[in-house]
Amino acid sequence: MNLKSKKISVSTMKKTGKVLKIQCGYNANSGSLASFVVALPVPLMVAITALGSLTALVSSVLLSRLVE
Amino acid sequence: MKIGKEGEKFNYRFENFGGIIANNDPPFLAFVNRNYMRELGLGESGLWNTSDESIGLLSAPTEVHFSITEKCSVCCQHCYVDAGKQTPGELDVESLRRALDVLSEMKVFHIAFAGGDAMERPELFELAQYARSKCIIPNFTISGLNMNPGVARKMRIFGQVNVSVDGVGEKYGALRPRRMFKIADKAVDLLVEAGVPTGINCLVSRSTFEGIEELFKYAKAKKVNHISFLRFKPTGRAKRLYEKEKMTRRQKIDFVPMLKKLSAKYKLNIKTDCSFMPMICYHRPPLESFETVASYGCEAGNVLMGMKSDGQVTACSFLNNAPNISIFDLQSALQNCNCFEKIRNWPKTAVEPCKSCKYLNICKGGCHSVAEYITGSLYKPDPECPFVAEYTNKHNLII
Repeated sequence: MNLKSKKISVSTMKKTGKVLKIQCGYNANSGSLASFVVALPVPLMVAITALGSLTALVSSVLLSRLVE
Repeated sequence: MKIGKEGEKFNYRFENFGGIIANNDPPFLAFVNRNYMRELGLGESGLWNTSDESIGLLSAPTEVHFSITEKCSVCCQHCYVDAGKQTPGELDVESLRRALDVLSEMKVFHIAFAGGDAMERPELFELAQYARSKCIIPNFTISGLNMNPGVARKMRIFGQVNVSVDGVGEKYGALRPRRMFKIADKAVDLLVEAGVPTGINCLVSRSTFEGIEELFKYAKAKKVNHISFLRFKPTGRAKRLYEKEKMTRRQKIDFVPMLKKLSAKYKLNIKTDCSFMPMICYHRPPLESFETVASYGCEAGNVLMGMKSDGQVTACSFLNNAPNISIFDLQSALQNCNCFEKIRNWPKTAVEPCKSCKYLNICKGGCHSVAEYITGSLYKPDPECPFVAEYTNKHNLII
């Protein structure tokens, strides 16, 4: 499987606060956990931006995606 | 609840590695390090009195599947909880509120209402509203039954609503009553029209597999926000159909590349459930691809727990080996006893081929409800994992 990685840096990055992992969206399933595994959710870029505005402390988050 | 510098409200809790921050618009949970929590002005935590800053066992689940009834009028032949009639011992609404109080105290972020058909409890929306008031985001999967424009508007209380649609038209009926397709289809339309974040759940079995591309076309046309693909698991009434409906070896191997292709073709977001992790790992993606975007294998008893309609807690809603813990005792049970210890720490006791698999700590042995049904032990590796199947064949092992 040809995974491609994309590094997203937020201009407000500073200090040592770091986002380790992001879980996107809500899971509506009544049985099991769901994970985005093929396409990244569209709102994810917005999510990163939101984190930046929320804290102005976001470091960088390495996101991998299967579909460019 | 904390008010951020820019005025945004966010929910959070501490963990050994730092903490988890919950955002609602757009929805995400961010796992952050200790300095991040400090820089947010959230102070220090006693959970940081350890040198272990890895993300492993959490202090509480982030998500609980919250069953409020076993009653369901649809009665699908493959129902994973054997739902149908209301069962004795179902918690009353006041007890369900108290259960939500417990989850709120534990700082659980999300619940998924479950059943049976939770729509058959008249208090559903009241409970969803109560969950919101406790900073818990309620989510929901429905068959589509009893949907109308008014109910669709009320569904805005949920963070996400998925409608079960395994295929389009005749293909819908491979597992579910055929008459339900029109009902589910109408529900999708009403929810999208009402502005409810709406997705589709597709149960993947031998029979539904061939209809997946058509389902992509359908989902794209309906403008839903994603499709969740769920593996057919041998629990409840599905046990009777498992040999007939479990995916073939070829389907298991082709599944993830097919999703990749169709996701790109239709520009549609995809989720798979935790039980598909062996089928993902079989294609040997780089480990780092799992590290920053949460992709879960079996997180039963850790990230995830289930609550039955009588208040009993399970490690996940497919596992019935409940350690007899009531939701009302869950907080103290997690602090004082080793409930769910074995399933939470499964990688430490894993046997081959999982033991030496590089994906062990992501996959965690595949789906343990499948392992339990096939092998008689939920602690054995998932025999349907392509790696495990190859290993078993190579060594002439009998499961």
